[in-house]
Amino acid sequence: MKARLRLLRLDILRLTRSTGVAVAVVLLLAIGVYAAWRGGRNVEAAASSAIAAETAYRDQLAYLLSTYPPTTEAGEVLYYLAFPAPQPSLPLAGLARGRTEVETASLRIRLLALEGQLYEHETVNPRLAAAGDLDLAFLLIALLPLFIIALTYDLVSSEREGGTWNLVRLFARPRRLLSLKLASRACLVGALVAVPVAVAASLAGVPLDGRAGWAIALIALHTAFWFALCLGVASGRRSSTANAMILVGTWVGLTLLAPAALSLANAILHPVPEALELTVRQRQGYHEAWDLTKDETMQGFYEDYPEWSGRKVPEDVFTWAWYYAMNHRGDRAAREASGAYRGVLRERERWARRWSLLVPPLAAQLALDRLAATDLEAQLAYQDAVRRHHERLKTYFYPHFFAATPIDAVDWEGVPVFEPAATEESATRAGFPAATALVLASILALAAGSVRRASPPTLRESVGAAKS
Amino acid sequence: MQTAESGAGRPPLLEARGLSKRYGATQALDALDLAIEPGEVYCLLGPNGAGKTTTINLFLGFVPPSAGQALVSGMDVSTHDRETKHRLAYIPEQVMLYRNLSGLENLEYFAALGGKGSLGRERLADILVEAGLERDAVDRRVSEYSKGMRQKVGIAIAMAKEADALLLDEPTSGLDPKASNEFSALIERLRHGGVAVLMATHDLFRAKETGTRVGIMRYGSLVTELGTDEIGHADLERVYLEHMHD
Repeated sequence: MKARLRLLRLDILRLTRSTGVAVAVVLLLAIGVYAAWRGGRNVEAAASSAIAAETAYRDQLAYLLSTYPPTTEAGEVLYYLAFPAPQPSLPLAGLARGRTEVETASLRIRLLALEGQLYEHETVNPRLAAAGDLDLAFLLIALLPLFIIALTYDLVSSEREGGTWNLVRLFARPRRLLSLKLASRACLVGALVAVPVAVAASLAGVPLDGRAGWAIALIALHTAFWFALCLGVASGRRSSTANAMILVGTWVGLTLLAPAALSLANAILHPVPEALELTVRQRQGYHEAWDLTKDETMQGFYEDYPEWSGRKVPEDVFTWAWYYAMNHRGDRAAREASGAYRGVLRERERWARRWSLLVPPLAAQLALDRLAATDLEAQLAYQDAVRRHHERLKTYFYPHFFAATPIDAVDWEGVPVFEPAATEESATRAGFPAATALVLASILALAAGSVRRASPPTLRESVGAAKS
Repeated sequence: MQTAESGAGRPPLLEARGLSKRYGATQALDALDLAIEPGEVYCLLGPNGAGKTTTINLFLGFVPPSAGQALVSGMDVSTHDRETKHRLAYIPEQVMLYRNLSGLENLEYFAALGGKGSLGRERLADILVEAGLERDAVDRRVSEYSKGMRQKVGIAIAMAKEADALLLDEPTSGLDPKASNEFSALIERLRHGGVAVLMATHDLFRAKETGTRVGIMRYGSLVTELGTDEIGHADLERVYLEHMHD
């Protein structure tokens, strides 16, 4: 045991005394801690944003109620009033930001047509979204493998090329040497992973639950997968240069090309219209109503809310009941397209999850997003929760529109509160498929390496060994 | 386990029996018979390509023989890889070490790798000094070492291993006369400690000074064998050249 620890210490010392390794360790640690800090801040910002939305709602309501005469119809004040609908972030979102970079989870909705409001944020500043954010999942899934490759590509070849192989072989079996070198590298990489993950968990307040457990397991398995891959390649008889080229090529394939190819295939197989189209349909549905009789507009409304079909609106007078029914007409116009849009998005998500199992790093990334509830599925569930909330608000206020209730007669404290989307999928269901893919891929990589090692040396290799 | 009994009832530490190695069309070693007892220093002389390094590589198990056997303490290297390697130490022409570690750390590493993890740093530093390294050099990085200093660390690694037999491949090549002399003294000490030494060298003077027996090789065959106490320096050179001109 003492000898093993001594060897481990010396091997780590040898690694960290290399300027390149030392610089990479410092750089990755710095990026990791920064990403963890950013993640913590994002979770904090989401919580602050929820509080701010509630405060803004209270302030706006107080302002409207104090500005408008008490006899003003509720419909008029509700035209302006925005209701908060904040979806609380899971603490794990501090590790895997997923789609929260481009999709908001804190909408403020008005009682007007909903469809356009769901996507309004997308038009804020796409250039900022294009630059992307740095989250820990990106660091661990995309960048860390490069460091693992840099540490392991010459695991055996450096001994051959550095002339120490024959000396080493007299002291230990190659398998023992490999396990020692792997252990020292695993310690180094483990520390590089553990420090930012611990910082992120602490800053984001990640509880030690099943989700956190699966996230840690996925990170560990993904790291182990790259070690297995590197071991499979580096334990062969190729030169360091050849190993480096194979491993970097594999990294490019698994981290950049395969995900891009899958994404492209997904987009081709499941084409979706721009969300803007839904907004346009909804706006058209709404504006067309200006040219219709009020009764024609109300017919659609009565179909969806037959309980109000007995309450006709006058043709020659503006009523808020008609106005909101007109907005409802907009949503009705976009309803079919919106359903199809969401259906295709869900199909895309399912397809991506299924096929990502062939690309283990992508599967790990998607599973982390799933566990953190920052994926497309979570975004769609949030939109559904907003739809339900919008519906509850309408149901709450329609009696006031038809009754032309003045604002001082409305029970503002009884307004329905937003019920966030529940994270329904279990952590095991979210993490298990990717974990299985990573384990199988690791076994495959190791097996491929063993087959290669088992093949007899070539004449050139024999001569090389003899002359070294 | 295959054994061969020596005169004392124990097998020789190093023994070659009809040992041959062929690389394609090239016969690198041809039916070598050789036996080296504890406390013997056997020097293999010969031009490049004579088969000296191949002989050492066969004893070390780095290459498999085409025919015959390389035996260490009576055990066939081909079938007792671990046991035979455990009994051997090796110093190549260029001792390559880990450049990022100091001489002491290199020794610590190889000692621990060879199962001598219990040796303290003080003891290891003493071994380095015994091997001829200056005390103030033991903690310097190997990247700052000269070839001679690296050879001394190589010797220290071999000493720390406490191997029964030492295989040396051109160990004094490129060393200055003082370092070569110190090296010879060290081999002498090991020899007196009962270590069997097989040394491949071009250095006739060093072979005569250090060796107890010399074997002259050519074209993969051992052409003659002499006891160093039987001949002088000039005789050795003459015999060597005679065989080279044949």
